[in-house]
Amino acid sequence: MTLPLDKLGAPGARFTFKNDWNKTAVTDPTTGEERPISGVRATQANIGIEQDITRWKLQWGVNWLPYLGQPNYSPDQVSRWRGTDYFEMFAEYKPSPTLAIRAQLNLWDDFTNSRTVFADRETRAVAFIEDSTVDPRTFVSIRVRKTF
Amino acid sequence: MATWTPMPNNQLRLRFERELGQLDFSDFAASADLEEENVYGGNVDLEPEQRWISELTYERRFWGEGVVSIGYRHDEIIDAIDRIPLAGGLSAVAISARARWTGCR
Repeated sequence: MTLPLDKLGAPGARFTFKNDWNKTAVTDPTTGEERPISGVRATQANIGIEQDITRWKLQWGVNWLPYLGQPNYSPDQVSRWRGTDYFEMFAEYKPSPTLAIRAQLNLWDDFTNSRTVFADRETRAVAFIEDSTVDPRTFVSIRVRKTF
Repeated sequence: MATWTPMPNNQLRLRFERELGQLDFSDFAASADLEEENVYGGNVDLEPEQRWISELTYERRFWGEGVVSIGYRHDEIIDAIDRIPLAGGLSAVAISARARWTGCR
């Protein structure tokens, strides 16, 4: 959904919302039971605001992904990766039609990965569960683009 | 694909399509990781997955740039690629069973 915000007193601004809801099923080659397809994200909402300020030749925006995650299945282990509150903020200045300078800031919470390892393939008794946290770190990028 | 515009700024789209996937070359060809001292087998019998896709989307435009759209999609996947168990505790990328994917967007 794209909702122009001009009528709410923010000329050139837009609110955006996008989401996929996925339900998948495949027969697991090891267990013979039904489970989701490996590597497919069940849902990933993206909520954003953008604004074009033409008199300053500037566009800015913020995007928020409240939740990211996906499972991965293999014969000896299942791992689930999860992330929350991913923010992407940008500002792009276009002094001319052929030159654009963009600055972007990415802010993310820590990702968690939970790995369940099985002792054997027949009973699938759990040998151990490993929980780890990854700090993806905040980063800034600057891009200068000139077209010829 | 069929498109129907019952009223201005309102559109319904219906898609029914067969799609052939792409193989990942590293699943197909054997390779070695000398630093990790590992060898990875390739599966020369691997074939790309096939999908039968049915999709219905409704889109409404308003206030100039405004868009609301909602879609429903169902894929029947033949020759889904997955990780299968092999003897000796090994595993491999191979063609698995059929799969289903139902999505809303």
